[in-house]
Amino acid sequence: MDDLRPTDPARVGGHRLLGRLGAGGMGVVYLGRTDAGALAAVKVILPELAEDEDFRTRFRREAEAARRVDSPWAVRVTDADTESERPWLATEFVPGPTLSDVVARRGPLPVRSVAVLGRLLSRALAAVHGAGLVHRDVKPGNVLLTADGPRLIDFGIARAADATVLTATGLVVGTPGFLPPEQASGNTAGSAGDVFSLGCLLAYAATGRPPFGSGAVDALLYRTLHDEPDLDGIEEPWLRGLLQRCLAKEPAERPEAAALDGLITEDVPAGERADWLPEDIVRIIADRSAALLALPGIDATVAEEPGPPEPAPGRRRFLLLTAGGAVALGAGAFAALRIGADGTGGNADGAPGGRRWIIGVHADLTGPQSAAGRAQERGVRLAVDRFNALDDRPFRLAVKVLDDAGDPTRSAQVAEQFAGDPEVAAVIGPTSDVTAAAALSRYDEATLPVLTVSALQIAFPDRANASFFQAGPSYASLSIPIVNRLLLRPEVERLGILIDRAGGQAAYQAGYATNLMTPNLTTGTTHPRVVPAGTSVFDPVVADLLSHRSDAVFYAGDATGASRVARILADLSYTGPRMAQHTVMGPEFLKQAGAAADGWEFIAPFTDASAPAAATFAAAHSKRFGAAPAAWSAEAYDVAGLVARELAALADGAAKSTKPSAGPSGAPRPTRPQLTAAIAASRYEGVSRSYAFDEERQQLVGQDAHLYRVKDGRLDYLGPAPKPKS
Amino acid sequence: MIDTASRRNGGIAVTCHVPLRGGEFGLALALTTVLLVGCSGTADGPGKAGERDASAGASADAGDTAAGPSPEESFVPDPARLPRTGAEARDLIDRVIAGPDSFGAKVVKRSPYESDPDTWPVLGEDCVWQQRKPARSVLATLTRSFEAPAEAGKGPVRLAAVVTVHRTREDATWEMAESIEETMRCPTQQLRKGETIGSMVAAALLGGESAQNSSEDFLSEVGKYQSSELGGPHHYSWQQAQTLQFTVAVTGKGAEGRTTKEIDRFVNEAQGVMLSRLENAVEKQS
Repeated sequence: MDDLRPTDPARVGGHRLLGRLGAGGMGVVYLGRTDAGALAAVKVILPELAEDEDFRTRFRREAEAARRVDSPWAVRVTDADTESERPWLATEFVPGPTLSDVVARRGPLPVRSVAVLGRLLSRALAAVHGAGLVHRDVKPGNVLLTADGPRLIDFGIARAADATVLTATGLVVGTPGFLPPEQASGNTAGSAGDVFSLGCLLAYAATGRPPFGSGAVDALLYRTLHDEPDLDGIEEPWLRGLLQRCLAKEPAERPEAAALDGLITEDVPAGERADWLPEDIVRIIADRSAALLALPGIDATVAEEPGPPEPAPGRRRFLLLTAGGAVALGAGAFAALRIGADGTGGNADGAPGGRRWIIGVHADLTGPQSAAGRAQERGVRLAVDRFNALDDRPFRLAVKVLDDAGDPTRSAQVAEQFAGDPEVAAVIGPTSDVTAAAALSRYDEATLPVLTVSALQIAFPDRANASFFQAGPSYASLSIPIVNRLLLRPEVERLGILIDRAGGQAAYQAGYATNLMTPNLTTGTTHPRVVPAGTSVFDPVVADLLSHRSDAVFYAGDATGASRVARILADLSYTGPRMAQHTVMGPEFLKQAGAAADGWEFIAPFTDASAPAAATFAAAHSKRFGAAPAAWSAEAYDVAGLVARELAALADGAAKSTKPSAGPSGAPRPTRPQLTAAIAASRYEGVSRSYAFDEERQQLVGQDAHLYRVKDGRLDYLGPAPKPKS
Repeated sequence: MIDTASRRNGGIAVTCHVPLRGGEFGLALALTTVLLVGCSGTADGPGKAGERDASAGASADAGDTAAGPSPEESFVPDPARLPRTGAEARDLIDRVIAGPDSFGAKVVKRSPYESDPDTWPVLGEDCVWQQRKPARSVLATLTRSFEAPAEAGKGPVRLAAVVTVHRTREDATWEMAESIEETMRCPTQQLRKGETIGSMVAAALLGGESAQNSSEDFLSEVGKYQSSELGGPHHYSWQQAQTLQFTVAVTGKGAEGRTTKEIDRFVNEAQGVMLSRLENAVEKQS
């Protein structure tokens, strides 16, 4: 649990807030205590969701239904306020680990425990269905274990906004691996879907594996639709038979939750007796509960309190920065998407400050560049917050985030969605060269301005409408500070360049451009070498670089190759300037290279939280997100700020040129082509650099970059990269 | 090392986007161009190479070019059909290497038509090409020379095709690495006495990059060709692709009255034919 932040409320409803359990797509979950002394998990809905009438209607209906769910095995909704400005919902707080935590830690459960689990969860589901709800996300992470039995949490409330994944064919609600086939194919599942998910959950508890495997989402969904479940290792015929019935592809063939109870013969645990679980699991539960409750502000007495729910570790869906955080962010994306799609009319008049625009974030939130993508999302959110806090803003900005997972096909789909949403004024992203190339033509057709800060390829295909802005220095631009840093010193005459093709196009372009620029910018020469992808022995090529009297070395490739080269150079006591392409920066290189990483430098397109120019930004970021900004956050903040400023200027201009009788809401909305033209002509001083765009190709003008060096196993920010002497 | 900016045309701002001065302008522009040409040439794939012009192809993205089954996806090699001996390798080369009918236009054999099989070209430290004994990793290699004859107002286009069979795939990937090194090391090269190529820039795309799905690795290089016989500078174009243990390459040298597009089309066409023949020669037969 995290401490409350200065911006958090002290009380919500009748709860004194004690700390934060997590934050995510729908809002923040707090640990609270009622005036009567009971602990509760209090979920407070995000303001942008609260403003959406459809969302509020659904939330109201489902919260009401959830209060009718009456089962000792389902977490009880204790209170809710669906009408306040920030709607909230409180449930019992259960200080226990999730089923997924326990199975991950200790492996499959014994058959008897699985039987009890199945029986009690089927009762919980029967109660949920009896209240007219469908859970739609039954999975091990939504089941808490206590000594007296399991607790099903998080049923059915505003599911569409909270647990979705984007697949090649569209959005899917729920968690792949535990989804019923009807839901996996994009349809809405009824109560029979929950029975299928329960079958998956019980198979997981019995074997330690989800019955349709894990891995790539699309493959997983395919197996759910077409393959038989993997029940290997379940010896008891009755359990196998039961799971097979639950896992029938045809919903009508599955037993109802209420009937399932009677099909399982194992006794339910009596009272507080902990004999439904093996001794070691009971100990895990006790440890976990004690850890959760040994928090400041929570008296020891609460351990004995009856009625439980909602523990921090189990609520991964709400934790922004854990592995599950991506799902939470994806969910936020979907929630925002809905607003964009349906909110065009309703929000326009009601929102203070007039009509609303959306800035899209097209990012890799769950793929290979998810760290960069998530940092960019945060940067944009901060820029939008800052804009919305202005007194004289002509409209309100909202953020809509869509995840492409680094996949080109999905990237094109994301572009399609943004292009089709008339409220989206501009998009920040995509994150990578590949996803940018795949999305370009879609954005261009819509003349939707799209600004990438991290797709750095030297050239992208021509676009008819020129709405794509490369707002980061290309690999060619970066080669200039690289050459300056490595060669403009008296002891360096020759630069050894090593392209490791394991680094793909980025490494090729960086190495090639650096080689090309060296004789153009300096009197120095190069000794270029190239090794195929998959090379693991670098000794001969490093020896060759040194035998050709390379006074400095530039490596363009991946982290593994860089660390191998670093170790070899360290073994040879090489002390000349050594630099790797910025794509190598990160914990993997530092870890693999160990002490050999010391002294290596990087010219990076992104600034650092410790840069003086980033101080205000970094403080705002820490305040809002509880962490220092990661790489690429400041750049996204910059370009979102640029877009906001240009959009505001256009709106102001339009309002001034409109006849007074038309009124403020009668001013024409700036169009996407107008915004594209305004961005193209803009000059903007950002946190990371100055922004201006080349007329012909809309590439960033200038070579502003940032210099880092490894010292004692850490990356130190040294300041702006050296510029060529004038 | 010292900064030469002040000594070259009063300062250089060398990137692909800002106005450049003097020679650097052409250089950087060519890099941009070759990256795009590289994309388009490969996106076309075997058999379609000649149908699309380079600039139009450049705007195609992954989604647009996914119309048909890509060779990479459908191509499954049969280990039994991969050559293991010099004789098997020479037999495969005979079935794969371009002939006069592979360029999509009237092309004839030049004399000598085929290279001495015991030699292959090597770029020396001095950036002069020499005929040397092939590396030990080479099972067999063959170069053929062609010419698109001169027509009214158009000079002859000299073309060459090369197929090399290595012992292993890894050996072939090293040949590709060396090819990139050659263009980085020698932006100006002497082909033979009286024949030079210069201002060379090269793009390299691994399979899957920028819709490159015709081979595991694809290099595309352009530059300026100068000849004591044909004058110049004319356009120079070279492509080399690697799949499994094989490399295939085509060069085209421009001449008076020949457009860049024309030269690229010869090269694209023959490269596409050879790659498709190569796949047919080694793929699993159902």
